[in-house]
Amino acid sequence: MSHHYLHFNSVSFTYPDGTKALSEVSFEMYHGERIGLIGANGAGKSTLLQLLAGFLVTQSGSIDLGGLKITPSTIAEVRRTLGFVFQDADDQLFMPTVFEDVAFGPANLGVEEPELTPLVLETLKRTGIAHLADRPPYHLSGGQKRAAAIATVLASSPSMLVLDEPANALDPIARRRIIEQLRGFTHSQLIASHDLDLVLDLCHRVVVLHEGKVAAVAPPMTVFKNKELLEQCGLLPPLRMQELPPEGPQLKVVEGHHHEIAHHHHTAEK
Amino acid sequence: MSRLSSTIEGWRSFDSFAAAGLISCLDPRTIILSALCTVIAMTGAGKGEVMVLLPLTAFPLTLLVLANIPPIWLVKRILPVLPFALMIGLLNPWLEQGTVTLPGGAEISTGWFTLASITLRALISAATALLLIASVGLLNLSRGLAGLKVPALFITQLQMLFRYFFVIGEEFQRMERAWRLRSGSRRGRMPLKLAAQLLQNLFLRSLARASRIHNAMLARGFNGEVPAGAPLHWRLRDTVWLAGWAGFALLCRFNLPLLLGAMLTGQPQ
Repeated sequence: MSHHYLHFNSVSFTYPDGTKALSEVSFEMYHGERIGLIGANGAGKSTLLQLLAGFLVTQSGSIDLGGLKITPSTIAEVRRTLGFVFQDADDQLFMPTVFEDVAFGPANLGVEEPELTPLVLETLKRTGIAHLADRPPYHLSGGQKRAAAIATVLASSPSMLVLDEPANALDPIARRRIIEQLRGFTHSQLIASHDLDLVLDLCHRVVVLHEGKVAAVAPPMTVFKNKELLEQCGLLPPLRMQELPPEGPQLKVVEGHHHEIAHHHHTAEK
Repeated sequence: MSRLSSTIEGWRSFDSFAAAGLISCLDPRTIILSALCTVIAMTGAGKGEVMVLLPLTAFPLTLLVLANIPPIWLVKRILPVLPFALMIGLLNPWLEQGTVTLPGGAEISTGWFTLASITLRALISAATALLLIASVGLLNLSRGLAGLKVPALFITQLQMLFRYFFVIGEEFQRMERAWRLRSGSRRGRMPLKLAAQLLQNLFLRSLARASRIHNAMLARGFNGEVPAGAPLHWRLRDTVWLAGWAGFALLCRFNLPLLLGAMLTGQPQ
């Protein structure tokens, strides 16, 4: 039995106020695969992740994780297998220091000293934030917080990673670093994101959600080339696949300054 | 940085003091027990026994020095306690009938002593509690309490309460910032009606945020108890520290005040 295999089998969920969030959702994720979960706001991505984490309970259908059906009675085992990286890193980092935050998961799983400290240090090193071990999480930059959030999850040695908007609010370099990091992991990964360029960069397949239903499951390029599908689901192609204007703003070097964008006002030129 | 932001940052420095200073070399149980000795000696003191209480200020002062905590940090945090203490005992000098003859022969109401006693008790309690957390750190304090067989439920409650304070603070900070950005020409205080509305909203927001944090904890195997961390080690220095403070507290309670009294009044015990 491999815990790297995930199967959503006709899963439906309706909130108490009658909002139908998911309807007959089915898809599979295989060992080592990276799947992008995309859809407009309200498409059902968050509900799907909450069902997977066991914060909500499936009303019909089933979710299988390597043969283990996700139910309230199996949730402890499921959480040992899945590593959740939440959208807001501030929600994920709650201990006084980064070290203690990273130690929290393995300690809950019963890892004790003298194994705990080397495990935490190794995880911090792996995510490139060993130098931040003693820092309070709230003093970190956005990219560092995100790396710390990933480290907190990796320390528990999950079989599968579930990431909600992993590059949310990151600057381009931090975003690129996270993408490279995720590419380096061998875990199966389910990545919910509005950053379609990231999905195009990272994912082997894409699950498109629309109004709680699966609109498509296909390789990213197939999905993103299908303009009709994207339009129907309230999405746009990744920026890199969109047509750029024929002539972008021009750059010139201003003496004593860095590069500056030169604005050409037609009226001024006339 | 707004006043609120700097206040939150200031309170957050609680945990940052714990790693530095000589206090971190001691077992957290030692500090907890010695603080307990001080508090017991304080509560055991009579109504107006100021001379019993005065030497007990040595304990918080020692923590302050050994943990390298700036005195201004402490003063800022215990001053808000003062009005409450004064409010309780302010009328005592006029309401109490008894008088005390001072060395010069002047007579004053015993109420002045009870007022001083109430104020000192409030200050010692607040300073000891604050410095205990600041010098030991919340995580080590929890480990110490667990080591003293305090129920896990109580320890988890304490930790959650401490963290929730910051969650509320941060959410209020965001709302207050949003209000300031859109308050136009209005300056200064927030109107009371609006503040009440924001307060309602604050609890909903902080509850939602706390629930997200709780979910993140659950996702990492949290089962209602925060892991205790590395095992604690009781050393000789812990025994010396505890014996020293326990003895001092006992001395304060029974002998030191009499000695000091004899020294001040020039009369034999």
